[in-house]
Amino acid sequence: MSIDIKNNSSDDEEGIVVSNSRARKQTAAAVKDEENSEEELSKTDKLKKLSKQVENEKKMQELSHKEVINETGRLSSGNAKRNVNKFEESNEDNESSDEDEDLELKRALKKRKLDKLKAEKQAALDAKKKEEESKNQSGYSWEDKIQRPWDIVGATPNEAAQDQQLLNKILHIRNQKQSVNTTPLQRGIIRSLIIIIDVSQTMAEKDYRPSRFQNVLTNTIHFIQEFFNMNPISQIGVVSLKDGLAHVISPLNGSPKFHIDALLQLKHERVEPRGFASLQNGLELARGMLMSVSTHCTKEVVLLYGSLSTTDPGNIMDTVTALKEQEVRVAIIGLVAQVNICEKISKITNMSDNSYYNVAMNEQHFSELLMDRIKPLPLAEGSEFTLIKMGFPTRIIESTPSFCSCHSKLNRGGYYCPGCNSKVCNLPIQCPSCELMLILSTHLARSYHHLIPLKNFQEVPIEEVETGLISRLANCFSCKREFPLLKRSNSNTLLSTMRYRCKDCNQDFCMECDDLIHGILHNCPGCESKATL
Amino acid sequence: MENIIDNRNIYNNLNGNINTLNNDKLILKDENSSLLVLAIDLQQLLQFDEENDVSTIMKNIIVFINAHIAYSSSNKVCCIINDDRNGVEFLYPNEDEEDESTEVLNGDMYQGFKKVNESIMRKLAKVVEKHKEEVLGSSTSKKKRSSLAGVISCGLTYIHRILKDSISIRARMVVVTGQTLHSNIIQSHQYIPIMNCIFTAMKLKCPIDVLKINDININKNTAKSNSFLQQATDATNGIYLEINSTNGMIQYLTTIFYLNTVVTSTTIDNKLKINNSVDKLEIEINNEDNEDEDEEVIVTSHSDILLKPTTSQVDFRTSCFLTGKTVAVGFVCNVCLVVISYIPITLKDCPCCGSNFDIKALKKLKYWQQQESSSSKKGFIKKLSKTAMDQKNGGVGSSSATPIEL
Repeated sequence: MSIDIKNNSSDDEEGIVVSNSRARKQTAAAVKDEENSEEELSKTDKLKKLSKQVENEKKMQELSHKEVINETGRLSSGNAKRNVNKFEESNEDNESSDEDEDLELKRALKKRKLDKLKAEKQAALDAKKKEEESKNQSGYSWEDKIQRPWDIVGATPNEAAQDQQLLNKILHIRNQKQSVNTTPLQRGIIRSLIIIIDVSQTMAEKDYRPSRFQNVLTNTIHFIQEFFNMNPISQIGVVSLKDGLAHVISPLNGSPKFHIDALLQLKHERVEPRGFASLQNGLELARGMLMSVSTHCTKEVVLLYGSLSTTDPGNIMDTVTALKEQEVRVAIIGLVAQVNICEKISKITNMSDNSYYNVAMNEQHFSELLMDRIKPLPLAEGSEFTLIKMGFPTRIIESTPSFCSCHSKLNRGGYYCPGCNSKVCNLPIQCPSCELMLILSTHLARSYHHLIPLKNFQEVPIEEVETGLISRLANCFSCKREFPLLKRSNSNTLLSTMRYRCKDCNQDFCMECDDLIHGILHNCPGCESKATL
Repeated sequence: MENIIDNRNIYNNLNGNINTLNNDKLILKDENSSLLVLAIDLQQLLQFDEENDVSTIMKNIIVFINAHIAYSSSNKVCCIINDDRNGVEFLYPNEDEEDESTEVLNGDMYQGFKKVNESIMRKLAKVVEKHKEEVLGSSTSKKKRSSLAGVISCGLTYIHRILKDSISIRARMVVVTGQTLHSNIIQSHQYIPIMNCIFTAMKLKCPIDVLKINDININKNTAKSNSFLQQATDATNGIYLEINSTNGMIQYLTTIFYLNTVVTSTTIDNKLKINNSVDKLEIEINNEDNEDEDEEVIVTSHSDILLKPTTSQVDFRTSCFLTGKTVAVGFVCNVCLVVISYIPITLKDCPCCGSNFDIKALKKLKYWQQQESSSSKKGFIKKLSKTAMDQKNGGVGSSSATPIEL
């Protein structure tokens, strides 16, 4: 909003255009319910009124400035500057002691009236335009995200901006909540995943900053770190597609550092994207890498594809059927546009589930899509369950240093493999001598929240506050932040209670806490603090 | 007790170290403000007898809090307790400031202290009073559920809020808990919630320190260390300390737990030899060849120049779902991650989540198991299977470390 006003002071039309552009977004979202379009109009009007007020005030300030300068021009130049400074200060407090203030006010009032008339005409015109435009724009999925127009105008432009931020947050969280399914599913916790990165010439494009390839690399590094945080007993491999061939960047391995080092090396060597990408070669290589994986692991491929074409040595559908037979599940994230073959591949390998092919719209969306792949997939029907032999070593500290069997480095502590008594320095790891999987119980605990997800909190309905069931001013149960009061501008009714309630313990939480509790903590502080059974 | 004596020695040495460092221009810099969250497990502490009662503990804690506030004007404090009636309660910050008018403390006290101390004392007095009434009213020894994880969760959400609101603030949490001889508080359900708290603390980069006060009546041999909290300190790089009496508690608080904030960053114009071992960091200062190398060693964390009390033995082991014994080599279900130490001959489904296992894979594992048992310990498995069957019939469910129930 503050930007809008600056524009207004320089040019009337520009200001309207800016505010219109904002309104346009909202109308685009409100295509489906036409009723809201009227509200839109009223909102834009209000915006204009507000901006006009501010604008006029600014004009007044400018005028008075000029006069002061004229007056002080007679005096010495050194004093003039001081006076101007002083005047600026007084203007901030709205305490201009100028004699010509009355005149100024009259002028301003006249202008305001004129501007209002103009603005109303403009608004009527613009509204028509907007409607037309919104009809055209309705195809874009990102415009659908804002589901309802919110007629909030705060008292000052800053507040309005804050409100807008809050609203965006609410919408974001709502969207997230809808997508989160909390029914406990049997998930493949022990995963083996191949990341295929497109390094063809199309990846040199700069529409993702700094370039598609660099963006994908940094995102992949971040993804690998997060992936191993959430899935400590899983494995990852990285493959690149370049010059129509597929290369292994790093083989299937359970250590995040190993892959990140390999990717960082790519970055430091300044590998340039080149040639064409071959889907078939990449998938075949991934299939080969996943061939030796034992049956209790899930086999997954995440393909980050920037090209619109593929140069294959044979029929790609043969590869796809082979992948399906092997129960390899391919998820594809496109960077440019939807490609039919990608959709087909992901659909066939994911039991005709459409949601595993996504096209990123921008950098932010891309990283979100990639992070979605961290959560373990629900198990397919008929998949095998088995027991896996694992070792739970105890930690030891030695007085004299000894060599570890994994890196051959001298250190004074580590873990003894319970199977063969060789010393390793880091967990989780496959014992280098007896190939027993060595983990800590904490690693298992990492995955528990996938298995027992926390129930979603429900937004507290407005009626409860309005009818006085719960008090208007209250604090979040766990962080003691006051719940913000989001009011509609025209009436004094609340827009949203901004509280989210756990069904089990009936405690209310603020939005940030809800985010933290469901995103990271996976504990309900209210339920955990119950003292009785 | 051995542990504690060790710590004292360490701190004697440490004081010596600091003195020597001081002579060589030790510069302490702490530009960042710090948030201290005290999570007090009052539910446990309230069970203490007269000698180690809550008031002495809280007095010490208040002094500790004041020391923290006194260190920097931008330092913040949060104090949370759990009692066995209402659950979690914030002693400070106090959101309902109705009874500000009544003065509990001397009016001349520094306002920063006074505000915090009054809020804590007033609320605490209410809680303790209510507790006493309840104890008098009902003498039934009902089993109670520990709500420690709730306190820690609340503390973490508060830390999250403060970290979001202000720039360049570091947060840490000190958990004060206790153990009494006749405790009727169940703790086994706490494993998953506390684990979740640990991972959150790691993500927020907030160390969790633990001070556990053992009741005097407890024999030092029978005192069990809280392995969940031990793991918490281990994973978040915090300090775990057990003390057996509240005498001199303030010294532990101000030396061991206070240092975490004070010595955050130091620049030492001296040649330091830092011998990095897994747990201990030793510093040798060679004053002799000072002129040869004027390397500037920048130490970023207190752990680089101070020796923390280390808990050398952290119990990381899991226990078997069927027998409840600790496991060295176990079998993990790939669906629910339950750990069992052996495979009963009749096993077909997962004992926890009930998913059908693949017969071929099971056969292989059973074969391997047979070979193992025949080579090393004959008849061991049979015994185990018997106990397991008994337990199953008795309906004994999960043990402390395998609490999954789908």
